[in-house]
Amino acid sequence: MKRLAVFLLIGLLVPMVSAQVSVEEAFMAVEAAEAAGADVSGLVDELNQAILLFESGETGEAEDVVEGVIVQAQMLQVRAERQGLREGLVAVAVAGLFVGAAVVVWLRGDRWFWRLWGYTKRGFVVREP
Amino acid sequence: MIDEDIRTVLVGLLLVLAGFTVFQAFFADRVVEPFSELGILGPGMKIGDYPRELVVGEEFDLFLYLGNHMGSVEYYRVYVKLGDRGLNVSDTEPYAAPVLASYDAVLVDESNATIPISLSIPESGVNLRLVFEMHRFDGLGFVYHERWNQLWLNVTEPQ
Repeated sequence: MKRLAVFLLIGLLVPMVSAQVSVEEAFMAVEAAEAAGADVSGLVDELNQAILLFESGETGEAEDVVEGVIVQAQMLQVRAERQGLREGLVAVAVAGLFVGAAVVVWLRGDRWFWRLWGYTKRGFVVREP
Repeated sequence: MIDEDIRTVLVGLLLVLAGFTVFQAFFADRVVEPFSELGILGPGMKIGDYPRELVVGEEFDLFLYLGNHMGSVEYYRVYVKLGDRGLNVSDTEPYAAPVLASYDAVLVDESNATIPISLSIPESGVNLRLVFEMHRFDGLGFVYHERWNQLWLNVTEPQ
């Protein structure tokens, strides 16, 4: 009788624990995708849906949703990492252009300034007071 | 000389622009003061009209309000625990009372959720403390997030 009770208890607890682990796994995948810069709002809605399904005992359907979330999160993460790398490189390149322009202005700025001044003052006549 | 001044201003402006570009790309998402919200709303989804007098096993409805301003997606769990005035609630340690129920929700940053819940109290008592405790998943497990609320209840045996 005792053994039967233990088996029943294990039978009840194991699905609950594995459900929890899979939601947590999916959450970590979503978290990683967000950290990479992806928009995860759609995945979060699905994850909340999975939590409700687990709570209402629809374990099979919930597990399908969770697996889908994990796969989508991993794809989003890869895409977001590429996008983030591209944006980072563009930002560094733009910053480099600004610094380069600053160096050029510092070294050659006065010459260009007087050349521009001379160009805009073409035909300027100094009259006697 | 005037051209020297202009040159200095231009170079300064360009360096500021360079710094701003790098800052925007790498540090713009930083959250200065992250926090989460936990609230209990009455049956009318308002602050108030909370149950005070109940009978053992009587079901009552409430709403859990959760808000995420942590700067990232969060997985929250709210434990509902039943204690009494002899056991104090702490801001740093989870309340050491039996768990009546738990509710999970995942929230993106700068979002909130209002979750309808239905509870019943399994034992009678005067000045029972129904504590709602917020935990968050930290990658290893759920840890106490130092947010809690409570309702005081008088619960009588059914006639």
